[in-house]
Amino acid sequence: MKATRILKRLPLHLLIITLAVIWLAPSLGLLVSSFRPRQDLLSSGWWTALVTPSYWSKFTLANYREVLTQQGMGRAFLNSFIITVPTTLLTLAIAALAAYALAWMNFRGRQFLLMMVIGLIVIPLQMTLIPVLRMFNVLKLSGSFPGIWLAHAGYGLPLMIYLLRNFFGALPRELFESAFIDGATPFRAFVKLVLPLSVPVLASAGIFQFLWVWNDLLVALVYLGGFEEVAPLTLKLSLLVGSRGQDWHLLTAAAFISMIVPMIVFLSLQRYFVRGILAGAVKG
Amino acid sequence: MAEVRLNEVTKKFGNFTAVDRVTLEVHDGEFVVLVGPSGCGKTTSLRMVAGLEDITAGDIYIGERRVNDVPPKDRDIAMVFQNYALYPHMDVYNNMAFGLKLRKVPKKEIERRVHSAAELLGIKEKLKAKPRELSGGQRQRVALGRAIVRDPKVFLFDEPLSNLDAKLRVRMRAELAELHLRLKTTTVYVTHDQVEAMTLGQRVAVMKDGVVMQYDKPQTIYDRPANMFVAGFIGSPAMNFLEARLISEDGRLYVQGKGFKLLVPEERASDGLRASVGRDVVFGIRPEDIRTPEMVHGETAGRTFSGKVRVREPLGDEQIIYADVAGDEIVAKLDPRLEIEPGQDLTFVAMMERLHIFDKETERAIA
Repeated sequence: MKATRILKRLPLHLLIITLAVIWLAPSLGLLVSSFRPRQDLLSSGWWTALVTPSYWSKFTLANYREVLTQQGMGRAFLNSFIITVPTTLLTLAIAALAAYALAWMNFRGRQFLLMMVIGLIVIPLQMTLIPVLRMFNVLKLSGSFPGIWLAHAGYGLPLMIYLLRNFFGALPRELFESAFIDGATPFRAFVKLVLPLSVPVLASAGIFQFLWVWNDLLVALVYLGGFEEVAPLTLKLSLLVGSRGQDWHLLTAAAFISMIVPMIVFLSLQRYFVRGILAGAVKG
Repeated sequence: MAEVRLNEVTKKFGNFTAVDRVTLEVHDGEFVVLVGPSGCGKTTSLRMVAGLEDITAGDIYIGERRVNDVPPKDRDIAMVFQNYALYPHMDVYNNMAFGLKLRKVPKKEIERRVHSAAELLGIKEKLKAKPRELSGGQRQRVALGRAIVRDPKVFLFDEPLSNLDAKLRVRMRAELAELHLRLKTTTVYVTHDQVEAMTLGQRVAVMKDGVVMQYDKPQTIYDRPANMFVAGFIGSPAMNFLEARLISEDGRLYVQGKGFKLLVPEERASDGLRASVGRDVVFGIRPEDIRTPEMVHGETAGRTFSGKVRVREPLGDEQIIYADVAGDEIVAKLDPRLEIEPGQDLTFVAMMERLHIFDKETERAIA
């Protein structure tokens, strides 16, 4: 009985494992390569290093040291945080308030505003690059952190608002009515009811935005390009490919540095992530 | 505490009139039940008293104050919802304390009130529990506690027992009645369950299509329903309705229909009834007012009719008989020890002093 079940599932499992290997192999290669000295990297494949135990003592952190200190990746790493964290918080704060208003407050034009927000989801951000950059130049926002915070928040908000509104809208009406009878103002109800009850969806929305901003190159390139001191990891990495294209030992280390944070964020919060996406998609 | 008054209150949703010029007075400390089938406007009426729905027309007073434009939190009411509406992320204590905290009641006082309410409701051990850890009955008690601690002028209940299983519902019903005896807070209670209405209400308002059909003491509503709707809605099994005509022979009044001709007792032959002689009416008689000759002592002349038994439902303390009387079905509640078989021809006795006569056109009670 049990054996037939395993047999039945075997093809599926094989497929999943194959896909996982195909997906993981480059990342693993990246990781292994980033610990190897330059000459070795150019002379033999990363898998030979992995299967030769006698080689393992030659693994080194020197690549990381060089990238972080001499190539400015350390500064870029910090910049990525300075860009990503405030952006995520700003987006969440605005999106949560807007979503609450769109879900639970009665005002004229609510439906119209909601349609606008949903409509904005489908507008490609590339269309906005030139006009926004021009505006930023006038306002002296290009090349500055506040500028990129605003840009990223703007690009992230429509989807975030939509996601949160669906979740908030599915909260039972009686909870609010009960709170209002108990004496709560709409803002009180938001702080005391909506926020605590929406932790999963807020977390997943936060992760979404965090990963998207952290991995973004295009927006950073447009609004921060040419300002070395505020460049995030992605921008720095692309510059590195241009200037040190042959130095695989540095590129692999740099690439891994830029990957590590999203991996940690995703792995530690994936529970919320899955739950939050489902909560937003299926009502209730 | 305070009285609640609805004066010509109307609520429209677009073109649909949910509540139509309802006038209702709830005395200080009284327990009033609004009952009716779903969609009759009872919940909407309650929500207007709570301030959760705007009023299209008319006035609502709580105490001396007109509250049409007063927000829910300033009406000094507490409401218990069908699905309890407990705050899922707060423990029982905080669920009850929430309203008091918002009203800046001193901490010591909050503690005292929550504990005494928990004591009263028997949920003292559960103060630290989250709603999801509680059974349905306990949740309902917490919802009650949340209302009690506020010590409001008026309690509003919206079908509070309908999510509970049958046994628990009966028990909570008794507890609610006891609670009201103790607290004597003015209460408006909405339900679709006629048993709840009869047992809990000091007065009951039967509603249909947004209109109050009758507003009176439960026994009065049962004994003297104002129209066919109320007569059919209150009482289980429902009252029998048979088409008939009032006739007068030798100065005596009879109800005559297909398969029966029954004498109207002298004391029930009112002027109104006499005035309706010759007209088409509906003869109403409750199942328990139909008996068999074995169950009746004394004269049965002019009170009998016969029918063919179709179905028998023995319930232990009584049996329900469905019988065919000249093509119409009647339901009778009989002594369970009478041996009756389906297919049997049976003679019934109508307790004519308990008859009801309704106008066929207007469906209003004539007698």
